[in-house]
Amino acid sequence: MLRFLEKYGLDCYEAHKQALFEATRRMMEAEIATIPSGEYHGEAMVYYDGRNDDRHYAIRVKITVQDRRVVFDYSASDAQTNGFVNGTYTSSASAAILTFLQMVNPDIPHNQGMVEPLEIIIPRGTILNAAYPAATTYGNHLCPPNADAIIRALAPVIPIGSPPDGTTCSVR
Amino acid sequence: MSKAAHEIDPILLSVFARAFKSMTDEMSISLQKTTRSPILCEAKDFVTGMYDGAGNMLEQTENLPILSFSLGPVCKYIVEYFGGDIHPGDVIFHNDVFSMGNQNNDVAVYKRSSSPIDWWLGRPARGTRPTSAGPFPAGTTPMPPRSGRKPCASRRSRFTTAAPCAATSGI
Repeated sequence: MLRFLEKYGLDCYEAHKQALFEATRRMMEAEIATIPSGEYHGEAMVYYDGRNDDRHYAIRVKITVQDRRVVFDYSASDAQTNGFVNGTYTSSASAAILTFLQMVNPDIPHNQGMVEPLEIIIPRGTILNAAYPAATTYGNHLCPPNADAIIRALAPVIPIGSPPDGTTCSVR
Repeated sequence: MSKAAHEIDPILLSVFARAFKSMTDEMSISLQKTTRSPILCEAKDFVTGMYDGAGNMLEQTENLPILSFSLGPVCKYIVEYFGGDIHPGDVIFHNDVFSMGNQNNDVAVYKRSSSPIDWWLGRPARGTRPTSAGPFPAGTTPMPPRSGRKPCASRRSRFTTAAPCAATSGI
């Protein structure tokens, strides 16, 4: 990388880096533009919290598509559990980005420009963004139901290319 | 020449993009071929990526999709937390789930590049705790330690002998 910089110079690198981000952002915005503007709702259930067999928890997502931007709002999701099945913001946001990317176009370069049109709201204290000192050991296992909620919300408007359940553990 | 006035060459732009991708791919290959943990070398439960000085993602190689975008938020947190007190060669270990970590068992490692110019490169790798030094009684250890053997006894671990949240040496 250093030889790369020596050859082209820092200014050249910075300019092309920004151009790469910009081009990638436009690619993602072009994909978003194919989705009708509006609000889409999806829900998926979590059937175990690590301590209680009889408790179920809902992951609810409201997806707003407008002006070539997408907002994933998980505010209506259930509160965190008292077991070890709780998500973290990073894990949950990662699942949301990955699922959406798989639905629209997984070949978009994975850089900052790709994620700029996406906004993810996960209030702290919910099952997908547990507050201290919650146990989060099984947080990654909430990614599949998280993906399910997103797919159920967007499948009516992105019918082709929707990945199967468990998309976070397999690449199309 | 100023950044704004710099002419963008579409071919060179593609060269930059492919170079970033090749670098993160090589980071993954390097980790896969040097680790002793089957979780990393066989299950490929890790992701590698490159980030600019502000923590913006340049590229990543997601070996296990579930981890795909889990390094970026931590990188931005580290940049914000340390401010300007990060120096070439510094290595940061992070697994705190309440400051953008993924899960406690996943330890993200970030290394600031040793570039002599005002630019740095993060080199994170994420994986479960047992990595280069074999089995440990922590995380998703693939096998328990043998009786009488102390964890970390045979070889110094790159991951587990460091402080859980931050370290400035050890790689």
